[in-house]
Amino acid sequence: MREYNTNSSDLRSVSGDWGVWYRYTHGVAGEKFFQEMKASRQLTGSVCPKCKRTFVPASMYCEDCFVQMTEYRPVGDTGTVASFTVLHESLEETPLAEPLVAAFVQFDGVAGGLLAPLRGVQPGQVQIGMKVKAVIDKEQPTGTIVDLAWVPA
Amino acid sequence: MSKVAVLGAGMTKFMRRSLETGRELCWEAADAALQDAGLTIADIDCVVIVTAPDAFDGVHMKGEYLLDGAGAKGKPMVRPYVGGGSGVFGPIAAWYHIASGRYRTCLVVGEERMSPTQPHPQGAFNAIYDQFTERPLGVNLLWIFSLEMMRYMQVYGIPLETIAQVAVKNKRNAKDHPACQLGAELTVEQVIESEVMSYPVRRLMVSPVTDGAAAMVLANEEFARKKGGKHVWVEGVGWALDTSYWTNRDLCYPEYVEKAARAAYKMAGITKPREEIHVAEPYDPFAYKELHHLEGLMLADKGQAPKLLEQGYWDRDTTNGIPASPSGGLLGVGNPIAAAGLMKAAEIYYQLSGKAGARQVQRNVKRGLAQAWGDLMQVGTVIVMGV
Amino acid sequence: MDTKLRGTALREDDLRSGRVLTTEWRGKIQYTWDAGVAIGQFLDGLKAGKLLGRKCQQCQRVVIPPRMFCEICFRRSDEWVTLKDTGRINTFSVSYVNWDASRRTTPQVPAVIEIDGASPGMGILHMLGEVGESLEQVLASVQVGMPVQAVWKPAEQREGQITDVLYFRPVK
Repeated sequence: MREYNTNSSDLRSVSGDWGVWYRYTHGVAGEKFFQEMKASRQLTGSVCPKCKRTFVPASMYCEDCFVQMTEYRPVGDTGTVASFTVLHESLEETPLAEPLVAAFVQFDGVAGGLLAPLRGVQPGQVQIGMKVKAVIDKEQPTGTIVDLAWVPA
Repeated sequence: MSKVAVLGAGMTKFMRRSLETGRELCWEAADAALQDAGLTIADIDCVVIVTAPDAFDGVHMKGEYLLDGAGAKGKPMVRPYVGGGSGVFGPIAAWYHIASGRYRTCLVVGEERMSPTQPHPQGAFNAIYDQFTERPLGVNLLWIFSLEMMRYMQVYGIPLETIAQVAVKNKRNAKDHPACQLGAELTVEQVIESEVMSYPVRRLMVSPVTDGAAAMVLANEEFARKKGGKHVWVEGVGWALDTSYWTNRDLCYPEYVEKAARAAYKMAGITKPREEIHVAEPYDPFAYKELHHLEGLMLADKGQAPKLLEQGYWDRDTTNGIPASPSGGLLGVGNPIAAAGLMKAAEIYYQLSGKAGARQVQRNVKRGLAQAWGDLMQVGTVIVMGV
Repeated sequence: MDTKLRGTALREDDLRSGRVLTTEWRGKIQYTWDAGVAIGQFLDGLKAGKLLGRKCQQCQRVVIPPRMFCEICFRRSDEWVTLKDTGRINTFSVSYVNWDASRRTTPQVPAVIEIDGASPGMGILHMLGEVGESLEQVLASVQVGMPVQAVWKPAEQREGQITDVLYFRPVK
């Protein structure tokens, strides 16, 4: 027979948190990506010497050919919304003052894509396939992904 | 069941903090192992990724995160987990993937980045303690090691100076390891006078926080023979865990390492390990652990490994003993948890195939073992290889 | 073995100075853990000033911390046992390091204490107190095998936590 205690005032618990936080490096390719973004406000991809595809964000190795990629190139600033979602709540489940559109954008002839907020358009007006332009923070760039946003092209 | 050979190994430098992400470290190690084996990723049928707590890299679902760097895109991949024991469990898992007959080849990649954890990776370990009966006491990872070390020393009457010699030996051995960034010539005095962390553990008895990756390629007999050349074979594997109630067992002896070793020796047909094992890589995150593990591996009687150390029995250039940690181990080369165990397994492969360079042991070696340990300090994983 | 290994080592200063870019994440990861049946009762025992163990009739072990199943026989354990609040030191340490690797000026003295009334070797983790403030003093006052006694918080201050026992001190 199993005991199931359904009297919640009997239940004992303890709370705690994780205690540690994290500082990540971006990697060999990621460093290149973010330094370029910070310095010249460009988005950088890497080119596989074997299959010739370009990947964004830049990666150190081709995931299919498994060879090193040492050639980098800008992928331009105009892309297409491949998918999006509209956020109404924060991570803590509190309502956002304004809904946030998160858009996954791909670039012509480039594998991969980038996820960032899409601004300057009503959520109801966002469509898969719409063209957007990258806007990279130049006032106070952090050299991280939060510097990136999209606006309708 | 198919026989399984080790075709190649590779690794990155072991660094205090790498620029590379975990995935990039995986690729660097995997590429090196494939090159050593003379193969490409297309030759790999399945991948085993070993990496210890997600809490170090700070990336959830770490196996999935690392997989494309580990060559696992589109391939069967599994991430077996036994904490610090994982590094040696990787090749064990590769063994059963292949021995089952299902896969011809397997790439094992072991990775760890400890540098992202702030303020210090040690803090991530707090969660291994019970949240009710232990954490409220203000616990600290070092306590488990220092409590175990104290018990071991007390029960067998082991002097601190002898334990310090393990650090001296391994840090010196590590000077010849290409992955090592900080090999050193230390004296016993320097070790026993280094800062008290948690008595009796002193700073120079603790392996350093490290980022790194290692990789190994294994294959079935048919594939290996087709490649040609002389091979290193997996002859025995074993693994065992003890209770998580670590305060309920006597810390002076690792029973679970003995159980794992017995299983590996039985599979390898070894009845006299002290004669039949010619080189060993016991897990050495702390200086005393190497001795503790050598006894668990039954390569020395209980409490006797330190005496043998004093006699030079475990030295790299011994001719009538068993060289232990010729690589320089975790103490010397570094401790990127899962990658460290795999580095030790790779060392046995290098020693048995004569590829260990300046670290090549003096005595003739035909059989060796690597052992790792971890989880809540209660897992033993053992692999025996031979030529 | 290849002697030229890949890997780009950085120094702390490279990151702190911002020469190499980093992304920080301080996620709020919080938990509320339920004590479960056995530990729930164990904590109640602590509040009442008692150390409780659990007995398995099959292997006859009396275990602490208590558990509702015997992990060796792999069956439900059978009865609660009130243990003594004395024991013997199985091992101890003198720690000058905090959980986050920061250093302490005064040490903490953790120990594994085999509790009287439980099976032999059945220890719990707790702290030693009244054993000195320096490494030398602690090493002079503490030996493995020494009998110790729990020092409890006064009843009205107990919360049903392991810290209801302040520490164990040498039996005089």
